[in-house]
Amino acid sequence: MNSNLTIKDIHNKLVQKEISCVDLVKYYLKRIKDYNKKLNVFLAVCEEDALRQAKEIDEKISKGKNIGILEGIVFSVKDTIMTKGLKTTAGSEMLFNFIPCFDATSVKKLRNAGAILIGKTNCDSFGHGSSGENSDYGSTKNPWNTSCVPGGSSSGAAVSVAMDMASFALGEDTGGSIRCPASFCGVNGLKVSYGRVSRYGVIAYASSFDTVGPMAKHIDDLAIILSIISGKDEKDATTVFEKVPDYEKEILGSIKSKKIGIPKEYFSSALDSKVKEILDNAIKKFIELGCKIEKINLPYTEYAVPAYYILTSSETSSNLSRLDGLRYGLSVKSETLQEKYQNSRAKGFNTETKRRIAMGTYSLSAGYYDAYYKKAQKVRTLIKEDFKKAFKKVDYILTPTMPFPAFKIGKKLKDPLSMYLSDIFTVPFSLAGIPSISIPGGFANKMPVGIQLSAPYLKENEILKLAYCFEKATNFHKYRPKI
Amino acid sequence: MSKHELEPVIGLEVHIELKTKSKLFCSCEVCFEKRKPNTNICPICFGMVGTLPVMNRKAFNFALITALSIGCEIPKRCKWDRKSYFYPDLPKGYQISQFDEPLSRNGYIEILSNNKFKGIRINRLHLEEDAGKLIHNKKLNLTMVDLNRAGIPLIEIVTEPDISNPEEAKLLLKDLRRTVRYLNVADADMEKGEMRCDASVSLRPKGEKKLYPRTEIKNLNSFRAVEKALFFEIEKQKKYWKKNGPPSQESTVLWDENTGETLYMRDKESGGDYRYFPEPDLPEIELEEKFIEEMRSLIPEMPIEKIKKYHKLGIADKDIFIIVEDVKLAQFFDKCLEFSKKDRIKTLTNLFSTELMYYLKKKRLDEIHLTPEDIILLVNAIEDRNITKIMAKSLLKKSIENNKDIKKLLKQAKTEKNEFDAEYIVQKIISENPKPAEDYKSGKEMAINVILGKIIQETKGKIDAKDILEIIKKNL
Repeated sequence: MNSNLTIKDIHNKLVQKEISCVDLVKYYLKRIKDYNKKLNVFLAVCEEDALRQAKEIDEKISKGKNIGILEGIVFSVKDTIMTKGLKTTAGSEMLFNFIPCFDATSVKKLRNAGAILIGKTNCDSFGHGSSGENSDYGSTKNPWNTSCVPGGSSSGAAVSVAMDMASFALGEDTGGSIRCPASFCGVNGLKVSYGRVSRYGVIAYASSFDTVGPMAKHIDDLAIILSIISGKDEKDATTVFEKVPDYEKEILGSIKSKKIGIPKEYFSSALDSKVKEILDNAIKKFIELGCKIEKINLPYTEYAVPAYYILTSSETSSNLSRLDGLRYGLSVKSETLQEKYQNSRAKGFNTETKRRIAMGTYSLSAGYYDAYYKKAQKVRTLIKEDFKKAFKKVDYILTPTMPFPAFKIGKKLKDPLSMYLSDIFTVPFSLAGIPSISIPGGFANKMPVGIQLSAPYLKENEILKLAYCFEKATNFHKYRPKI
Repeated sequence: MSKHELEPVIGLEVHIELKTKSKLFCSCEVCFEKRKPNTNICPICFGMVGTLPVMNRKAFNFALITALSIGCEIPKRCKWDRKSYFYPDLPKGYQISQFDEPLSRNGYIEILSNNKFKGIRINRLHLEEDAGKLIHNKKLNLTMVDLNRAGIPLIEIVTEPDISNPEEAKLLLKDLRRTVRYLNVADADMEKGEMRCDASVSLRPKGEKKLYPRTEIKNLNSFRAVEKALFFEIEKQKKYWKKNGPPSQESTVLWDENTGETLYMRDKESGGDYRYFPEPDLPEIELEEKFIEEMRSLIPEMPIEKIKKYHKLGIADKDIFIIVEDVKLAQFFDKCLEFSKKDRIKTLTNLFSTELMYYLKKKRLDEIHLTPEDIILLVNAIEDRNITKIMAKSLLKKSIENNKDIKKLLKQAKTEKNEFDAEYIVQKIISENPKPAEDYKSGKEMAINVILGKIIQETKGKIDAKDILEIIKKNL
């Protein structure tokens, strides 16, 4: 099978009976079997359920019944997103035995649309990481160079798409967790506007940042998936009522004369020269496509990383307090209640998670709250204002996704600060809650490099339109890693 | 050692569970009946990862109307906060509560104490979720967690330290209970834990305005406990002051119902840092003035207004509290007042609080087939001297116990009274005065006037002499 098929291609093949759904599922299962050992992508695979579902769809097709666009399409789900009856660990030992009793709303919507869940993908525990190395089940490997990190935290999700172990993946992005691995692995990854897709059933990292989004090889795939998973969810009070656009139709629009802003703050010395070159080429391409380029300022960019880490650590310290060893998850037998709390949490959480819980607890403590949490909230407001002002002048913002291509496994593990700083280009959009996408922009030393496009709040349709035009004019998305 | 007399300064923090259909942030039923532990829970109130709270609007409105009824100011905007601490009855490791932007502030409650009205300022009223319960099994040396209660909407009401004695504290609590019952937002049964109270108390030399470090008393599960614990703590503090002067730091104590003593728990500094921060899972709540006014218009006449009304009518405090305790009874009484003549209100209230209340302790008002009109008929019958009070009592008994029409009973009683009364008095006087009776029987006709005189004296001239003479003759 050609690994560059779009969802629509596969759908047509199913409808025209060129391929059976069972064979399709078997193809992905084989890919998983062949490469999972080496790349450590999947933490759980649901072979039986997937095959049974495929059989049902084949029967439906053989009876001449119509099938929906996602029926029989195979997808993977990041392990921080809950799947009913299928082990969900969030990449943490704390939840080593946790089997959810319900599906996340996004998963439920995909299942209802007939998509077939094939398994759960590896990630930094609770989303705490930008490299994939913080998974308690071992780091996922970058398929372009297995000695490199795949990026995180949705590392398995990105690799499952890059390696065609699934047709698309559901990831989760808090400060870059979809866009970073998308950039490092050469796939598309969309971070949606906060509130566009339900967070119900997502094991929370930082509640006011977390977003569920799709990862795929093609922009029109993203449009199809986004149409399904978006919308108001009565179980998530932070989802918005705004009507979900017809993304499939919207991406076909023109980008002629659209203005793309290039923020000068994103071109510091931290930026790898090869990545800069890729970005310059992308700018040229957009000019060719009829867009206008404008230099803009986002003056509060330099405060984004510290503000982001204070706020997300604060929220995660609170969100993870329910994992106390008393009701579910890892529990260490102890003499006293205090010891039970301490022993269970000491064993269940890894160093990075503990670091963030400690930072967050500190930031929220009496006497420090104003200096840290509150100040960071003010920065967040200023950054939002930055973007609001910028979008008065331009339609889109173009930046690199990551300052560099994928780095060697272990390189930044002992230096958390430089790891945090690698999020410098992704976290501002997360602080602002606005949509942004990482799409394949080129290669540096044979490693993929993503470029990041963003648009105003809830303008996913605009982002996808711009990305779709770029995709049609380039070939970067067609390259597949060879192992 | 203080030369001055010491006076107590008391403030209360009251929690009341609201009786909405479902819990505050999930669709689990709100159930106050005893249920098997952990059978009324769902992933949300169980604190499962991946779950999110969604606010129950009804619970918010219940809290809002309560706040309005005690004169609180309602800001246009309020928000939710997380209050963090680890405890087995708190499944998420934090309680969703309201910290610096509560739904209401600056209220005012009036109590009637010793025939005087006194205002007590309310600092705030906010909404939060209740925690679960711990069940200690001493036999098995086990502590178990029951989360059925977790997530039930709870209002917290904090008073200013305006309370001067334990009696006032109890009156304030009763006032609050009546308020939520009148609004039909809660039953607030303290024995069932639907209303809970922590009391803070300190002393100061009379006349001073300054507040000294206070003691917070926890585990007060009845009105009596509140009163007793405060009395105990005040005496304890008085002794401490006499020996050492004012205490240097705040402390928390636990009331032990069995020993009748308060036990030291901790000083305030080690009480923990709750790390409050805005709840990111719930949007802020914006309220329109129009909506607030709509809610305000739904408030019925509150118990304090009724109390004031009855007080003005000269009804005794004791009777006022009996009547006002039950909203239906108070409404019934209000109807009676409406129908009653002004100068007969005393008879009405007497009948109400002494006679009718006796039955209302055994039966609900709606099980007694009496109307306010019936009560007025009785009152008027007493006032018009058609029946005596003793008869009114037996009439009520007959009517309530045998479900008999009060009008028919009254008609019967009226004629009975005339015969019974006259006959009784005549016989009584004759037996008390055997001499004139014998004289009359032996032919001295004038002797009957002695008996008649005695009867007129006895009945204060309210009996017709001609009629009586006939009866006397009959009886001699």
